[in-house]
Amino acid sequence: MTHDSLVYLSKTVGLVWLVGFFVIVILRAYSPSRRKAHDAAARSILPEPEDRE
Amino acid sequence: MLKLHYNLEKISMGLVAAIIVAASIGGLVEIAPLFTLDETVELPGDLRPNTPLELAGREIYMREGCYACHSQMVRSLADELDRYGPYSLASESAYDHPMLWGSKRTGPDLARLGGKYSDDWHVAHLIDPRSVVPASIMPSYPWLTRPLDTALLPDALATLARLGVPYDKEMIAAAEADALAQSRPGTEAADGFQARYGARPAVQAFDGDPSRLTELDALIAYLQSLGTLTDAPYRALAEGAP
Amino acid sequence: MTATLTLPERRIGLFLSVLLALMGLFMAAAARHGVMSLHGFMALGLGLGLVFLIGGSLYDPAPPHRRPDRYYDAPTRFGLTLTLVWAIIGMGVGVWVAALLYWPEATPPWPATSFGRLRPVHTTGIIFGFGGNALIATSFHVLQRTSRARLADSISPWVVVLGYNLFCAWAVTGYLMGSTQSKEYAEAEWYADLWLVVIWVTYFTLYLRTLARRNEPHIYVANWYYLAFILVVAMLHIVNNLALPVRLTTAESFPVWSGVQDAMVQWWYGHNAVAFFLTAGFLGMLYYFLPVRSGRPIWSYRLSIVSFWGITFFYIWVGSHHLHYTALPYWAQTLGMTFSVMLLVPSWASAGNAIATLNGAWHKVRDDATLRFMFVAAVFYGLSTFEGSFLAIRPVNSLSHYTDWTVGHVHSGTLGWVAMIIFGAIYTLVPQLGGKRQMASPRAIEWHFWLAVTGTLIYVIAMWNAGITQGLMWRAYDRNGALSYSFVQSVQAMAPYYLLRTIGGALFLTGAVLCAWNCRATLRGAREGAADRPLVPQPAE
Repeated sequence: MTHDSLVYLSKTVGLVWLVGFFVIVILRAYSPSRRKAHDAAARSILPEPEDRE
Repeated sequence: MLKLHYNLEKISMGLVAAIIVAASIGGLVEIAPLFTLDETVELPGDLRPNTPLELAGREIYMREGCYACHSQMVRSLADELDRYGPYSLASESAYDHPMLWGSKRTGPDLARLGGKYSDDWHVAHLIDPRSVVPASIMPSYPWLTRPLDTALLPDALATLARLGVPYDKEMIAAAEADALAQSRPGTEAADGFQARYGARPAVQAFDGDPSRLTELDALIAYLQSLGTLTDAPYRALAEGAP
Repeated sequence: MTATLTLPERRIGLFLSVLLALMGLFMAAAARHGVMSLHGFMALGLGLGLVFLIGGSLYDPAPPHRRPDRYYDAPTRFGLTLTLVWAIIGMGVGVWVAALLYWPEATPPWPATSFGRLRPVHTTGIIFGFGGNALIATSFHVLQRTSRARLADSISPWVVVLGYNLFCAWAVTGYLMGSTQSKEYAEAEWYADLWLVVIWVTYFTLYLRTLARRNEPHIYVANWYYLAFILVVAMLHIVNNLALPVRLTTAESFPVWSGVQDAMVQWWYGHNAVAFFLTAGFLGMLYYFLPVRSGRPIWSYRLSIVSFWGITFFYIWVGSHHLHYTALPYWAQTLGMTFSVMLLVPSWASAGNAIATLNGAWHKVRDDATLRFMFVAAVFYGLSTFEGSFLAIRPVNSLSHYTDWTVGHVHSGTLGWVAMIIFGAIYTLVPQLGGKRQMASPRAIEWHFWLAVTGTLIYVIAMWNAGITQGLMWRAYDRNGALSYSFVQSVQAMAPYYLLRTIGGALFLTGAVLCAWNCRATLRGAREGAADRPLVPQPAE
């Protein structure tokens, strides 16, 4: 692995990997199928009214 | 009892793996190419490692935390070239384990300090900075007049040699004697020292008293060596390479 | 402490304490003199102390047998106490060294009290002592409540808390005796680094085992941040601290990296110690305590996930913005700059998410100082990440690098964001741990809040002025093309700002002392702990 090839990799793979990773995260986070689970998770740490002893 | 087996839970392990992968890319992409740097930027022929006395001085520099206020990195900016001298090259600190580029200038940058002030100025300044620079806020270091402990120098040189710094067997064996010899100009030991390290390292009674080898000797030897390990920066500036 | 352990667990504790004592004895004997032997005796002392503590109470009555249906809060309580102790040590030394910059003659003549040795005591004391203990203590609490399950075992948390504090004690005492690697924020010597790796693996294993036994299918996002904190700090710590000891019986060592490679690895570690130690971990704290204290769910749970992956991915790249215009290759500097600016997106996603969560609860923020601590923390997180993204741009950096502006940015993050979210979490947790409804003195929380905000603002604004003045004085040319100011003239110009900074720091320290007093008053005489209970699965087996 010469220095120039590594630098070329750094400049290109980095960007491709960034955009790909970002797209995957957005799709998984905002997919409608997970909406219900996420809303439930957000409330999970709050004491539900019924088990507030 | 301490349950050693536990079901490696699918989701949390997946999360762990994803975090490791996401967090490793940045580091690899930025650090890996630097290790093949010497293919394009070879070390200048005249780059010399620190002598034993300078190395002992560097340890004192690190011990007292001088990096907290002083940097050793002249940036490629006009005012820094005028204030400090040629900008620092990567090759200059190739033998520095660890590099002391620093991140704060409460005090001035020291990368080009070598030869700028006399040894006597350094002695007075280190013992009481305000006696020489009235407005200085640097603490004083009166305890540096104590004798220098050179017991670890051979092992230190051997360890650095293992990390790629060019110390050969004679240098490692004579480390303690060379530390003393470098502060005793005109002695026969000093000739042995120069046989091993050449004529460029300064050989003088750094703390002004050739009869004793003190921590001041070591620290001032190191300070006087800063920026003089190679002339490459002056050549780079002369060629006009930004 | 041992009252909460069963007999077999006390035996394991005894065994581990003897092991620790033997390790200390071996270190002290091998090193014979110098720092390493002192550190050996410290480990020996801790080991023997634990042996007597556990041995003395070996046959005391065991805790109630139905333990699985109780959260294990004793380590959290002990951890928070140590957090406050380190806060006072770290901030006390911080105010003292700030004062030394204004009154240099006040430096006592002894080597151990010189500025250069006290500065790492301040940074390690605050980052690792105050911040680290706060993260470990709160992570045990958050992990159990979001998983609705007790910690996987009762010994590991004590090993983590005690072992971690031994590392901090070794590091700090080492600096005073002149033992340092001189790598910023990683100054501890080689054997302390190895010890921290052992403790950190124990911490990671405990965290993962507890997650594996959770009764909530979904892993709450706060745990993601805590997990990233544990994992990435381990990666950073190991790679940056690779070193060869000169001798196995001496503290002195040489890092494996040198020159420009060391610079890149150091600041890849340096900025990500800030990223994963001081940001990701504390965002986990924020994402748990802010919703709990305000009684409202996070504004957008999905945005917190996007922010998480953004931070985990981007932060790693940005280390080279510490090296603009230096001998680091130009393309690496540019890569660091670009990602630093892009980092603003995930950072402000979390800051905005936290502040939007308070919609509908602003009356609580007005009345409840604890929630106000967390709100101001989120605001300062937004401010310091905004400032950071622009400080990383090369021309701006050419003015700010090496000046006090950087110190101002660091303290808007540490005082404004990290310390405030810790105090918010402490004031939320301590009443629960003491089984009380609220802190001993709510007025003291109010006093602490205003001391902290005032101290932070004075500190940061003083350092902005100092830094920009320095930057401009260094680069000023007069009419005939000579530098207008000598370096010492720029030092003289700093005097008023260094005084203001000391005052700001002193106010902040006063607030921390008030907090410690308030917590002690709340926890004194408190017997039964938190009232909430984990979900106990009907034991099928």
